[in-house]
Amino acid sequence: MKVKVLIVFSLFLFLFGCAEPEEKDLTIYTYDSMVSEYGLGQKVIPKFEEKCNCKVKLVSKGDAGQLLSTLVLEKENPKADLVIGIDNSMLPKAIENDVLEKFTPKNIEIVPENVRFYKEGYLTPYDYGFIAFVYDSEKIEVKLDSMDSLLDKSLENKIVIQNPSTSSPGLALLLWTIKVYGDPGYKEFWREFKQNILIVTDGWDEAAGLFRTGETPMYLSYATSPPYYVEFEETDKFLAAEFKEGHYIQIEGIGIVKGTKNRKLAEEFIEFSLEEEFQKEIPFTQFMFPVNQKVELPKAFEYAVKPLKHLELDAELIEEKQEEWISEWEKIIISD
Amino acid sequence: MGKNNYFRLILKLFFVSFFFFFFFYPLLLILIKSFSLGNVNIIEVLASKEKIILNSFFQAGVSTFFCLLIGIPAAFLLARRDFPGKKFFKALSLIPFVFPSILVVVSFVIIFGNNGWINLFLKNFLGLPKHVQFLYGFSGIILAHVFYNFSIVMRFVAGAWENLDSTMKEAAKSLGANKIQIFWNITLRQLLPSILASASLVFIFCFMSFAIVISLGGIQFSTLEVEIFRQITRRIDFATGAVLSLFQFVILSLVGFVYFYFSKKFSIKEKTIKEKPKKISVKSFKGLIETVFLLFIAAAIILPIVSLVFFAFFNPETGEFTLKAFQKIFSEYNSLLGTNALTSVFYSLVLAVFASVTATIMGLLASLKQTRVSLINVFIASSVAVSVITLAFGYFLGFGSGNLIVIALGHSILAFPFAFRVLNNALEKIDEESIEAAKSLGANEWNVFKKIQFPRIKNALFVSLGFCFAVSLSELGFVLVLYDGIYATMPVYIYRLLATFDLFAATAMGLILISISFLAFYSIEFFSKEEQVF
Repeated sequence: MKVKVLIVFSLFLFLFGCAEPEEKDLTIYTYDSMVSEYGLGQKVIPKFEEKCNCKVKLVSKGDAGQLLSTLVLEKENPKADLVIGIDNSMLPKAIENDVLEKFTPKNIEIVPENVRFYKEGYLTPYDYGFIAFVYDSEKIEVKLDSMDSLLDKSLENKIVIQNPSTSSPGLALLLWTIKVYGDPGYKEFWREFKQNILIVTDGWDEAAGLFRTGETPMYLSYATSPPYYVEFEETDKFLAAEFKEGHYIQIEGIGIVKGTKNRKLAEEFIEFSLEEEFQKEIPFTQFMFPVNQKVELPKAFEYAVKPLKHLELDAELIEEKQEEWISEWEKIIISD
Repeated sequence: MGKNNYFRLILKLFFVSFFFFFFFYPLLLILIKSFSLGNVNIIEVLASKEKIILNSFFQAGVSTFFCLLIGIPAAFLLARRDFPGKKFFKALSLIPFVFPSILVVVSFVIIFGNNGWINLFLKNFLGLPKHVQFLYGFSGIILAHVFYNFSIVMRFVAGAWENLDSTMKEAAKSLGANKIQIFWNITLRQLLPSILASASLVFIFCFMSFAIVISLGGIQFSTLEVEIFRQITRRIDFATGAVLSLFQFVILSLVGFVYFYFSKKFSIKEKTIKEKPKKISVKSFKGLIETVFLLFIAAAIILPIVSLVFFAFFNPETGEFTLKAFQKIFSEYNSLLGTNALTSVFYSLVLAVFASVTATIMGLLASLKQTRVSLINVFIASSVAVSVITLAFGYFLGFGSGNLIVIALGHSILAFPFAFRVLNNALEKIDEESIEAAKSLGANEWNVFKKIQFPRIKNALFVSLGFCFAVSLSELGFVLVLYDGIYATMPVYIYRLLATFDLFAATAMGLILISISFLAFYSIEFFSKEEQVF
């Protein structure tokens, strides 16, 4: 019987004694789609490994939110050297929780001014995109060219959007309307827009599902969604509406994790991420625009909307007011 | 006797330490961490979420009612009637459990949507001028919840119904009681523990509900679990997240406790005289209704699968048959991790087998009278009340990530409540006297278990294995936090395909998941022999 006790305890010991990664390896935390079979990771990581003559461990930590949560939980004993996938909407949280080390790469000039982060030095942008309404051009007849055109009576119960409290495009839409109409003007917009919303889903996936089954002719997605349909589903009837007010921008960045023991290698990786070798893989893996403007975009990207006007609210203001805006929005949506 | 005591003690110790290490310890860590990272006023946090909390109660209560409404009659048919394809039907009833959530949305929209099959039928054959809105409101929530959960009620109650003692019924009949009186006073009373058991589980699931269900019903039905997820992963406010998950845990543990109390009060000992199930006959009016009801349930599970087959195999524009979705899945190879679609099947099965066996063993230990730790049991039974995202982060703090065994143990904890309730119900019914009699004749505990208890809970063991297997197979959230990208299971693979925008490939992978699960459930049914009657 004593043997059993021993077995049980050795099992526990085995579980607690997880092996630490070797220090000269570069450990990168990122969201799941980066490491997936179809992701950017497997296109660019081998290239870097060859270049630096080192090993890179690309570790998935769930979605972008869980990624940041993990960094905060590990703060005292960080295991990662780099983090890929924190965007402009999460940067204030990352700064507030003090999980990033400042760094500006030598080749930052590759990145145009208007796709850089509001607070520079924490993250280096690698791609960017915009939210937009994607619609079936065979089913929507009204001209969609401004935020106001979303209020057209013919669109009643035809639009699917996402919840700002759980989805990042959903939040970006709310902020977009605040940028365009101001506070409290956005409330008036939503009161009217509500009539045209079929349902508010929790995430982007479900909204895309409702759209692809034909249940709804229009949903909140990205300005770079149409290239996907063109390239992989061979149809050009799904278009993104370009609004004259401009589009709300999402910028994704790479940052150095505070407390890294591999800072030099981490810096090398960030500089590599801006080079063409890395950047040219972005369009068809991330479905975003590469920040390096020298990269030639694939032909299908002609169907993407590339707005001239990039909209963004002040990050500090978002931090301060976000909860209030979301709860005001909820009140409007739920009320009859 | 001394040897028996020693054996008991070891088992108890093993059981308690398992739960301490893999349930309380991670939760404790997350609590400590949360409160060290921020200060919150508990009352204030709860007051600000009052609406969500009340909504969760209301929505869960109504959903549970509807699950009972469908589940109890279905349980009757499963327990009291024989019909062709019964094993197929039983295996089928577990399928909603493994349905990837995004595919519930897709298939529900295809069937119940404003432009869905039912509405097309109503319009073209019955000439209805306007579509009927089934989804996007309260009815959408109910539909989705019943789809996910009615089988819990059906399987739990059917298990009890099969083993009902018929002596009391016969006695009442001879005293002149009518059928309604018999059902109300005798049958229902005997079934009450299993009804309450399943209702409490269903209530807990609906209370936490999946984010996906809200996508079919509306954000006014948002749940506490969604809010916990948001606090932890969007607002990085661990303290508020911890307060909310603690609150949810306490509330739902109370539900678990209510179940425990009532099942003790109403449990009725089995006296081995059982009724045999009758054959369904479509010739009588009653038989016809029964058949229609069965077909209705089967259709409610099969139709969503059929709609997915259309989605995965046919080009939506041209209507042509295509294997593109499957080709995409099986042509990809992950050079970083050395994985592909087939390895995801492998990892899923390894996890599910390990988790279902572990959870069933733990459920058995918790249910056996000899090893029962009664007070702790009440709390352990509430392991179902814990938020998955909280437990996952607790595991991350306690055991680190990237370890397959740790993930499997977490899945066993999530599946444990099923094992515990199924087995506990089965064991409770065994007559105390026969156990005592055997003991007085010198049988030791192992022999009592082998000769008396085991034969009567064999079916329950299979039901437990099936449920736990399904729980593990469909779990996404836990793996995502803990697997480091290495052990991509089938649900993770579907999640990845969705991130590439490819809903069709995700559906194809979903069908693979559903087919494999069905095969597993069917083989569990196939190998579970009818209970022996001595």
